[in-house]
Amino acid sequence: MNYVILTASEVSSIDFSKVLENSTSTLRYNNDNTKTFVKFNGDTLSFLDGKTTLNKAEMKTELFKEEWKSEEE
Amino acid sequence: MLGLGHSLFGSTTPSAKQSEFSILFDGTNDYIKTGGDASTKPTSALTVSAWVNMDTSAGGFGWPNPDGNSDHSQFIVGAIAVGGYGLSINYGGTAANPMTYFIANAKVTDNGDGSSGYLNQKYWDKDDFGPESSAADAGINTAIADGPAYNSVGVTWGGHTSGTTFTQSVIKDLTGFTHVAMTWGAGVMKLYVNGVLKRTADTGVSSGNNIVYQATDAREVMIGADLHLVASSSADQFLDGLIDDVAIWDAAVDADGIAKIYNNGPLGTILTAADGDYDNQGDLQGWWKLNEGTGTSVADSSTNSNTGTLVNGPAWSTNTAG
Repeated sequence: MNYVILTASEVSSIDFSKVLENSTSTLRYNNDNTKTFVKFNGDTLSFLDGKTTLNKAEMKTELFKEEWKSEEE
Repeated sequence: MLGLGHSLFGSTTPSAKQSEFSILFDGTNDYIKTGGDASTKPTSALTVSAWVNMDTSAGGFGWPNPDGNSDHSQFIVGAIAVGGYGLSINYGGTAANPMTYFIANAKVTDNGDGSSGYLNQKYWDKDDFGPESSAADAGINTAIADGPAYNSVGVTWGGHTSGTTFTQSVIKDLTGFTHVAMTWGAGVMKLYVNGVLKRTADTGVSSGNNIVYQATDAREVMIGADLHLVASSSADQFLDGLIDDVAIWDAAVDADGIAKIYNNGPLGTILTAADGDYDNQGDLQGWWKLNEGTGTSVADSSTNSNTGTLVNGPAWSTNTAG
């Protein structure tokens, strides 16, 4: 599985037919709603060219950072 | 990768194999939503049952948290916003004493001190220390302590345990499928692990003591995540691992019934029919076998037809407990 972090302003460029997220309404955002991410299998997608691709371990490390942590944790 | 094997939390391997598939969640943003029907949100009595197998590989559940200082929850079944119930796994402890808890949690009318609040039960087992009915088990207002290895267990009442004194560490010992169930009824919450009652919390208020939901919250009970505390359209506290055979009843299934469900293995008990010690077929409110093996919908095999929807790409897996 590959993951790419995007800014909120880049959400409009997401091709939801190519990623595992259902739609804009199911994207997970960081706490100030400035970042989100998408995940996909296989080769890098054209609309994500130039973006840093993370593996699962790298993505989980990102998500454990304070900016992504839930208020409940 | 995830492997089928004995869990830390029990030594008995279920005998039957009826489940061909489970659902693999990646712990980042995927979950199953169950439709939001009132039948999934019982009040006076409740049972939740599921099989879970956490990802203990690097990048999975056992991945050390960089911030290193707070508890981390992953929900098996989550329906907690401002109220509700949930069944989750939490991890904390220290590098020397990693601790993995199963947590049953519900906001109830009276949590034993006369006020509405969250009733938590936590069960941590490394070698099954902490005998049932000990002072710690009875432990009103007993918080989990960061004690020596192998014996830090407890029951917490009346609010979330902060857990802020714990540091994160690699979880090495929660492997393989574990069956976990919580029940609520007549003011008593129970937590079962692999068919065995591990924790009982009796509020002493047996009449009119109900699970409390946020009045305006019509959000859907989730499998593999919890409701987001604030954002009504979002999920939170995502589980990293496999889940199989999830069911909800509006009655407290008794110990014999829970043992029967565990001993028969995933999908080994037809929950819609009486089967020996199991006789809660009339109380079943939702039963997601998670055995379709393909697609993005999961059928509810109770009479309520609360069809579940896979959100953000959880994957079908042939790794099952039996």
